[in-house]
Amino acid sequence: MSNTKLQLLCLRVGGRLLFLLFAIGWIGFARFVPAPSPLAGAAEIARRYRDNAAGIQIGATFMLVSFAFWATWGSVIAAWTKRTVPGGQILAYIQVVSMTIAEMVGVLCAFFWGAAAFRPGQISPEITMTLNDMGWLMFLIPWPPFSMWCIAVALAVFRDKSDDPVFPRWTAYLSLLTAILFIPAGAALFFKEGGYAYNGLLGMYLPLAIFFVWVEGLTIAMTRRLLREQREEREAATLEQQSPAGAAHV
Amino acid sequence: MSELTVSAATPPAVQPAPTQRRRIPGETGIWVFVLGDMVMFAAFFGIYVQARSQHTELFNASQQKLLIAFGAVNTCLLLTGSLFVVWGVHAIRNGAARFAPKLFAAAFVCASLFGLDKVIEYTEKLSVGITPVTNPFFTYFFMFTGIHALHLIIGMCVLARMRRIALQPELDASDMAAIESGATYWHLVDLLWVVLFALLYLLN
Repeated sequence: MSNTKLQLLCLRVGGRLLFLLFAIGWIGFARFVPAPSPLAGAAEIARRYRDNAAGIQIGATFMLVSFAFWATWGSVIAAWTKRTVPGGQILAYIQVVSMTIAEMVGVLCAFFWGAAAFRPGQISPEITMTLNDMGWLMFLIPWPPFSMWCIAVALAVFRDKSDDPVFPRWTAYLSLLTAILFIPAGAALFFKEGGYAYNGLLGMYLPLAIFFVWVEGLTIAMTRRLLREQREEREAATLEQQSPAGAAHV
Repeated sequence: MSELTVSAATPPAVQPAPTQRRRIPGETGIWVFVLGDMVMFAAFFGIYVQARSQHTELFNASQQKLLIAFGAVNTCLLLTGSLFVVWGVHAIRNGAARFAPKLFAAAFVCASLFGLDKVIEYTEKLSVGITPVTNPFFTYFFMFTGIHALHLIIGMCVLARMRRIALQPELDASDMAAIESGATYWHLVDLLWVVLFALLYLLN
C-alpha cells in the first residue's frame, strides 16, 4: 500500500466512521436525542437509564469505538502539517496533543454514560443522576483543547504560503469558526435550563454539529488533494514504465 | 480601467448601474467566519430575550446593579477604535500608508482601555459578591461579556498584526487582503459589543 493510499484510507474511513459509529451509538442505541434535561429529577433519570440500560451500554461501546478513529483522521492532518508547513512541527504537536485530550474527553463521557447504565435501579437514583451529569458535562465543558486543535489547523493553513497549498484558505476560516462555536459548550456548566443547558441548542447541539461539519470539511479538502497526488503518482509510474529510455533522454 | 472611465464620464446625478461589480473587502473566508459568528450571537440574543421575558422582574432588578457608565465608556472606546481602523485602511488606499501603523496602534490603545474598563467592572461586581452563579441574568452577563472579551483579545492580536503589515515599505495584494480582513473582524467585535450593550445595559 502506497503512502498516499494509506493516508486516504485513514482519512476517509476514519473521518466517516467516527461520525457513523457515533451516530449509531449516541442516537440509535443510547437514544440521547432528545438529551435528558438537567432539570429532570433523579427518579426520572434513573428510570431512563433502567429502561434502556442495554441500549446505553451498547451505545457507549459504539461511541468508544468511534472515538478511536479520531486518531486515524487527525493524524493525517497532523502529518501533512508537519511535512509541508513552515513551523509545522510545533503546530503538528499541538494538534496531536489536543487531539489526544479530545479523544480522552470522548472516551470519558461514554465511560460515564456506560457506568450510569451499569446498575441503574439497583443503586440510589442520585448516583445514576450524578453519573449522567458527569457524562454530559464531560461531553461539553472541556471545549478548550478542541478549539486549540482547530486553531492549530487554521494556523497551518494560513502559514502554507506555497503556490499550491494543500488546503484551500476557507478551511482555515472554517477551523476558526469551529473554534469559536465550541465556546458556548462551556456554558453547560452554568445553566440548567434554556439554550445553554446540556440539552440546549447552543450548549450542545450546535457545538456537536459544527465539530462534524469541521471534520467533513477537512476530509473533503484533504481527500481532493490526496486523490490528485495519487493520480500524479500513477501517471508518473506509467510514464516510467512506458518509456524508460524517453525519461532518460529528458 | 474601462469601468473607471465610464463611471468618470457619467454625470454625478446618475446612480451607478446596479450591475457594476462591487469588490468584497478582505478575503471571502473572513466573511464566512463573521457571518457564522454573528449567527452564534443572534442565537444568544434570542435565548437571552426569551429568558428575559420569563424572568422580567429578576432581569430588571439585576440590570439596576450594572453601571451604565462602564458600558457606555466601552461603547465609545470601541467606536473610536473602529474609526481609527477605518482611517488606517483609507490611509493605505489613498497612498498615505505611513499614517496607518499609528492609526492601528491608536485602535489597539482603545482596545486595551476597553479591556481595562472590563477588568475594573468585573472586579467591582465580584467585590460586592456578584458572580456568574448569582442569578441567570449575571450568568448571561458574565458569559457573554466574557466571550466578547475573548473576541477583543483576538482582535488586539489582529490589530498588532495589521500594524506590523502596515509598517512594511511595500504592500502587495495579499497584505491588503490581510489588513481588510483584520479590519472586518475588528468591526465585528465592535458591532457585537453595541448589540450586547443595548441588550444587557439598556433594554428595560
